[in-house]
Amino acid sequence: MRPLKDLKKLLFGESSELSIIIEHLKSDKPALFGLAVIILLVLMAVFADFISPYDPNLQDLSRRLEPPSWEHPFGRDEFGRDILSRIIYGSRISLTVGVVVITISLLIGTALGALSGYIGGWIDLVIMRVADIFLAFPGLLLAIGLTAVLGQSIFNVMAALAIVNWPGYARVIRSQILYIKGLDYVEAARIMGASNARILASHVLPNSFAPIIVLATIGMGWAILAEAGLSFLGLGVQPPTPSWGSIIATGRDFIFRAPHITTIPGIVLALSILAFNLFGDGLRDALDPRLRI
Amino acid sequence: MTLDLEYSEKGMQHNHLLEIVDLKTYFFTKRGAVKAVDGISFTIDAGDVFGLVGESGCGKSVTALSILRLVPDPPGKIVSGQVIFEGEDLLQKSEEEMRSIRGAKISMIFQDPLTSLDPIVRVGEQIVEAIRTHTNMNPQKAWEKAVKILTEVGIPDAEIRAKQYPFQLSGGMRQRVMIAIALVTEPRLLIADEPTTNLDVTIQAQILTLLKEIKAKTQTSILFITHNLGIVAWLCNKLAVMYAGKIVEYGATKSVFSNPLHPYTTLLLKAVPRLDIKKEMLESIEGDVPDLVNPPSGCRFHPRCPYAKKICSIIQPPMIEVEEGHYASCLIYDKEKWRSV
Amino acid sequence: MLRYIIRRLLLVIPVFIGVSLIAFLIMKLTPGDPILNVLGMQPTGDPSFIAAMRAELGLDDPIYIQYGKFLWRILQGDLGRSIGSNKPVIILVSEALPRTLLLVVSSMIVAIAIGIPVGVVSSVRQHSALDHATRVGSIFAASLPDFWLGLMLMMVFSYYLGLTPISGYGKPEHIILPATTLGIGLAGLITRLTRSSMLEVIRQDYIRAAKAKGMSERGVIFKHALRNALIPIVTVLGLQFGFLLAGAFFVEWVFAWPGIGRLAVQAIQQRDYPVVLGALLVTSIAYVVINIIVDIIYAYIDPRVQYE
Repeated sequence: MRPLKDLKKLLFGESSELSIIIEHLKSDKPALFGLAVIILLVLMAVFADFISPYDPNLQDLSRRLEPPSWEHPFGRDEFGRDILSRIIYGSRISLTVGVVVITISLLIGTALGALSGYIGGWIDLVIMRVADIFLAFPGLLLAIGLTAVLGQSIFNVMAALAIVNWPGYARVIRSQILYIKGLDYVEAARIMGASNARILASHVLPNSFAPIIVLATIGMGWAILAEAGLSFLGLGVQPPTPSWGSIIATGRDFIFRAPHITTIPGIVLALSILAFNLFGDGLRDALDPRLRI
Repeated sequence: MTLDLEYSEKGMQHNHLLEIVDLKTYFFTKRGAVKAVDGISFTIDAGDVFGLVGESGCGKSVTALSILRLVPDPPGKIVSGQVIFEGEDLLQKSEEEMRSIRGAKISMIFQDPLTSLDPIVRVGEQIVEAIRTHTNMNPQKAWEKAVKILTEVGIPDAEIRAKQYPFQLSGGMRQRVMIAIALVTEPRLLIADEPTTNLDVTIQAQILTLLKEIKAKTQTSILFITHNLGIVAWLCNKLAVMYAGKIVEYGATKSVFSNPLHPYTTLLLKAVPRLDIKKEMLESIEGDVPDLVNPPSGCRFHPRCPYAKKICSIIQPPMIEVEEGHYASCLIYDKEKWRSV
Repeated sequence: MLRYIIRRLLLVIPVFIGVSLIAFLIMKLTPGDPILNVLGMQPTGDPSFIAAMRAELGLDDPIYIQYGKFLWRILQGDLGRSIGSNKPVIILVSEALPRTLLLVVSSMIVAIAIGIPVGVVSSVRQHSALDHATRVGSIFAASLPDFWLGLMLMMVFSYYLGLTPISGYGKPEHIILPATTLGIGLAGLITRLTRSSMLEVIRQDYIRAAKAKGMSERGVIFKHALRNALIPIVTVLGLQFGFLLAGAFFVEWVFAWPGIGRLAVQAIQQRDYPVVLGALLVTSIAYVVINIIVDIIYAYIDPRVQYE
């Protein structure tokens, strides 16, 4: 465990956590590649309205299943819609799901982890047991089950993914609290009147920064994959909203006549997941003090 | 300075069992080359129990690994020198030839018996493996031999113990198993790298007694590596004291103990742990173990030496034969130079 | 060893209770009227009939009695009937489960057959070009979405090359593509894991001690390093079984493999809740049982476990 640090110092100090990480990442080419793709994705999602060449939902049944051309670099789908535009708008769904899932997971995880760490006793026991079960059980399967029960919508997909994704964060927060509890000077801070919430905000969260950022990055990749998968099964985003998973699902019916509908969004999807995995991996290496020599 | 010639003792002109000549083993790190072993020479003859003494980090374990050519590479590398065993330079041998020597003619036991035994292989099986690596003995016979040697190294109920895993054995028993593995091939030389450091005092005494018995019963010579001069006095007939990658004193145990020559040895002797003296009374040597990337100039011990003069930081002292067969590398014994400043 | 196995098997009981409780709660939370869901009927508008049904189905009982009855029914193998086909769920499920297990086990074999040798070679030749290629390749393999990879393999090997059947079940060649699809991601993970585990083990004292015995590099790697390196790999394989089961849902869907995943996805799409519940329940139990089997294998590989 690292000594306690202030969030400001952590992020902006001279030999701050962040600057060490940046130094480390500079020499990690796969991680840089991942970061570049992530930035591209974010730009794509934010500026979809400007860069998308066509209306993603504009149909032209006379030109359905058209293969890639100069006019439509990624071709047209079964309703003659421009696939490039649908992919660009699909990135919004992917990233939104990712960000929302990670945020909710982090909130649930922090709350339960803090509860577990501060109160201890049987509450700790119950929360950690439940976390163990969630960690051991395949999250995607649980998410399939939950969307089956909750109904098929993008909102339920996010809820289901967040419900299965919080335990990692809870564990990190809890162990950080247990560590801090053992420190004398926090005991002192507590006696001087610092509230639990204050200790959480000023000590626990900053010190959990490293493992959480790694969890969140890899979690983004997972959430994007999970959303695409659920949409592929028809359990996620409902048509006509463009999602990478649902484009692949409809492309499946025309896979031999119009392979571009399946192939291209799949490459974009795989590349995005790869980017988050590579970047997360690089971050993990950069943040792991054992690997830092 | 032709030191290697001086090393051979009078009347011992026959081939030595092991002769190390100007051995240098460096570790190449980002900070630079760590000169862990930096030009050491000594000889071991048949029947010797040779003590190699020094503080941790002085290069004694690296010396042992260099003899067997097991220095982790990278980052370690034997840079120069000779390791002449039974008249042949081991550093010139192929990896395959080395394998037929390791564990057969030269065996080694390590400091920590728990981590040096494979945790998930039965101990008997680990002895059988040592036998069958070098012979074609059938598994049944090899197992019987393993049980026999376990009995010989003092493990009761050897048949049952052989079927157990390392974690089921006590620390002392594990070290006995390591010794059994090392001795089952009847090697010419046994290298024991701090074999008792992690054991408690009574077990330590038992293991040392076992080594002494082995010495009496077998033809095996022993290179005993330790930081404990008390053990050396009790077990070894010759010794070399290492400091910061170099040998500073070398001779028969009796001579060294009755007349320690090098200031470092003198200080070490004062620090020998004795059962009759309470711990707090132990004198420890002031100063730090030197950085082996940039070792001190001249004599490496001079920053910590109570007798050091300016010249000590300039001239690297040679090995000087002060009495017959008893060498020290200290300028005090070079009367001319010592007086000249 | 036997005692250990029995102890592990006893652990199924609390897990079974937990899983059945979740299944029960899901059933209670299922949107729509439970009677209509269970019976698969349209509302008749006859309140007295529904009230009678409620009483008959025990829906007026206290919740813990309802759960007890539910548990008792499951233990007898009664999982209700499919709304779509009216077949008993237990029959549908018990037909589908072995096919899924066959797929999952085959894919695991694919993953092990690729991952362990590649990981070992990569670790032994650390920092070589092959090692770098392996590191990038394995993370790439682990990033491929199963369902898309399946479609791509189908397109190339079945449609363009005509080497394998497009989809279906029955002949041995039908399993090639689904098992490969499902196994590739895990192969990437096992490669990475084998590599890092081997690198960790190779540094251990007993490896140096084995070398000091005069053993060859090959002997040291196979007799000592790999066996010890396998311990964490087996643990992860056990955990991965669950993820393979989840992956099987997608791969079965792509290749029309009539396993539990395809059954469940169809049932979800048709809102055939008894089948959905049955499939999830059976999958969870299969998952737990497989994990216990893995634990037993683990205890066999690592003798320290049994004695703890």
